[in-house]
Amino acid sequence: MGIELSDLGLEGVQKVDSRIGPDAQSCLVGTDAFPPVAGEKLFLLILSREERKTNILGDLAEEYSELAQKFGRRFATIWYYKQAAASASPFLHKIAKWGLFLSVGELVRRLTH
Amino acid sequence: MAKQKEYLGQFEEIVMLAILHLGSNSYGTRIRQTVEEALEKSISIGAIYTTLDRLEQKGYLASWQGDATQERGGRAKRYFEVTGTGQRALKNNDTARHKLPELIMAQ
Repeated sequence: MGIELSDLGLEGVQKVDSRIGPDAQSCLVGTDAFPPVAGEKLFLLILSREERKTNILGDLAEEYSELAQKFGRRFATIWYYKQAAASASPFLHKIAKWGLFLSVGELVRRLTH
Repeated sequence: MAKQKEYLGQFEEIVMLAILHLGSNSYGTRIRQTVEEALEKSISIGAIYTTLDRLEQKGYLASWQGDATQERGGRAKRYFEVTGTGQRALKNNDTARHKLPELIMAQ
């Protein structure tokens, strides 16, 4: 299962690499500066607004590239996943809160019927 | 009845000051890096955008989409600037901050 260009906010970009267009690829060739695909998928799960997806993924790709060139790809990848984990935190809190709410509701329902 | 003054939360104020500092270069990555440098701790991009969205909804910030760039894999930047309403809120915070020590000293 691959990522569609539309998932990453790249509609209309000519498809050379499966994730980015030719101009961006030529800039990044030899630098190993592509953000991790799994990391981008994680962000797509936790981000709600389409516009925000494009802006945030673009910001992260830019900083990932800078860090990869300065400190190496491994450092940049760890940084990227840390960003994904930290950004997912409010989302996970919401799930935990609603999960608890639904669990309590279900428990009350079972006790009263 | 006079309109109540609006105040900013601590993180909101820091984000807005970062935007004022960056000037025309205020977009997500640079805002995050500036806030992180100022606070000397790791700040997530999600926290920055949540705050930016909230400030924009309150009318303290305005944003617009910039051009896509190669460094961003063909994705556009979103730039931010502080509005007049936002500047008034910043001023309210600053006024309160200076007033409190005077109240304490007057006791």
